[in-house]
Amino acid sequence: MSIKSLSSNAKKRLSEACFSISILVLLASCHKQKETPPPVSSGLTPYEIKYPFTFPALNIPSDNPLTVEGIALGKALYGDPILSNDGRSCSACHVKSTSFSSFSANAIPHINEGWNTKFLWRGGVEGTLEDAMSFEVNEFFKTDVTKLNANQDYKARFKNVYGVETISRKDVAYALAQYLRSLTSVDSRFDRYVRKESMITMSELNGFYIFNSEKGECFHCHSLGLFADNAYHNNGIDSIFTGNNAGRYDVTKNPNDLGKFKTPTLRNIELTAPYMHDGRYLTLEEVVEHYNSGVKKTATIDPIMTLPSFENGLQLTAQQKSDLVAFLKTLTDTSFVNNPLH
Amino acid sequence: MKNMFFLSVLLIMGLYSCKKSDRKYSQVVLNVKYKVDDLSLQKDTVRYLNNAGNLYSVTHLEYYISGITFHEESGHDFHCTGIHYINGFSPQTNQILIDSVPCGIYTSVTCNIGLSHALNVSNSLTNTAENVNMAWPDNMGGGYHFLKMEGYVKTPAGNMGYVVHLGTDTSLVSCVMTQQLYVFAVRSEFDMTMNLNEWYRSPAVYNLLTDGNNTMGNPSSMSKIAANGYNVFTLQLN
Repeated sequence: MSIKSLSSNAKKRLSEACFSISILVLLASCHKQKETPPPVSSGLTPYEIKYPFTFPALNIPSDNPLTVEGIALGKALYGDPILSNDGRSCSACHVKSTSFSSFSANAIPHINEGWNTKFLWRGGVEGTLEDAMSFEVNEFFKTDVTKLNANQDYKARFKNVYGVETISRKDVAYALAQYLRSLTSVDSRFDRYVRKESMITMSELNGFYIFNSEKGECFHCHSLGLFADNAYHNNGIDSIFTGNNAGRYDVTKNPNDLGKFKTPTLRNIELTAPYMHDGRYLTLEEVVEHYNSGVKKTATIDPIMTLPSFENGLQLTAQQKSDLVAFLKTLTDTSFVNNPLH
Repeated sequence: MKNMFFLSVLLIMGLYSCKKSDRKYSQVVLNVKYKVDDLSLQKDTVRYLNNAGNLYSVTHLEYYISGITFHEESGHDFHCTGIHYINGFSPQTNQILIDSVPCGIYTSVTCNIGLSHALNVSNSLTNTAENVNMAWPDNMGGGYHFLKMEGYVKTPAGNMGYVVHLGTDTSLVSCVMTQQLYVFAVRSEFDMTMNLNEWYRSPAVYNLLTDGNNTMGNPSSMSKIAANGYNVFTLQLN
């Protein structure tokens, strides 16, 4: 399709999208003010996380600085059923090839979790990654640390990283937190386009315009950068909130939280099917169609979902829906899932 | 009587000690509070009635305050440079500390809700999680949301969402708080209270059902709300 063949309205939108991208490209060249990482113990190798200017500053707890050795230890634990008492490991559900999510259990992908302060679909844990991993170790796996203390390799590695003679659940949670904090996905095609290293198609660009404007209204919850807002919303997928669909209400018991779930990141969304908290949608096309025509209005639905533009669904054309999906697929970061360090 | 005499002496001494030659400074604390006319602000309750007759709730309230200026009786102004992100439902963000305010008697305080033209540039603020989520899309003008105020409004057919978002230079809100302030203590605390109904009151009544329940992308709605914001805040001694 040539630019000449576009309607004047389409050209206007395309030019607005190009302007938007050009601003991003311009800003991509800016130096980001980095937080000073906490110091590491001698003998350990500090590990620095690089991330785009569009990300918020990454806060790393002073008592758990990132080190190459700590991350490697966390990675070993992540894949080891020694954490549980029934043969499960983290990686049994959070599969690398699907961006550390899971088809069967619909687990939230473990990417860019270091920027989160709300964890699990219902926000069952709020705080730092260390808090989230403490929950996993203490509540989910009920890790038996006597098994770890009987393992000489783990004992030596924990002593090296944390200086402890006896491994505690806290040490296990901290090592896992280091590993998860290192799982950063920042090299999608869209990132590379913003960095002026590659191109995206006109369809993808048009999809970005829909995403980042009142046309699609995606950006309010999936803020650019992390493509999430670290908040809970009812996005209109249910009208009855029982069982698995009660959402954050399960945690707070506040009726105003019925049907609200944490906004998942859209980075690597192509790899993390199925979608929504219960995996009800198998494809991105189904997800877009939900917003286009399937939103259910209830007392707790997010106000943004009841705007005039949503009154009868987004009313996107088939081409616009296709463009939006095409844009979402530019957020796929194959270097992340192929990274041998992860 | 005796107390009045001592207070007068203290006030005169205070005023004398703040003469221009060796001016003293105070830390001013502005505690941001909320009300809706006579009611306190409670999240998620459809119980507020505005001048347009809309019965509404508030689920979300975020904004920036910038350009705080203290206007002295003598005509001198003290300008503050800070930008303050505020979330109405997050108490830790609702206190503004201003160091080194010159002691004196101020007749009014002005501020902006939002960011001036020079500051309202995408990614110009430190990339905190809050600032990132306040970004205003570049293809809609760029910069930041000045205000996000959301909730539900009652309609004959049931509750409908409303999204009052302000952004872009033309919807910068200029607020005036006319109140005589005596700033002499080492630390002076004032309550800065936002009455949310003022957003819908004057100079033009804004009806969420007929003027629009979504202001973003609607310049006339944004202008109307922004103009109404001039008196949303009032100041009083804590």
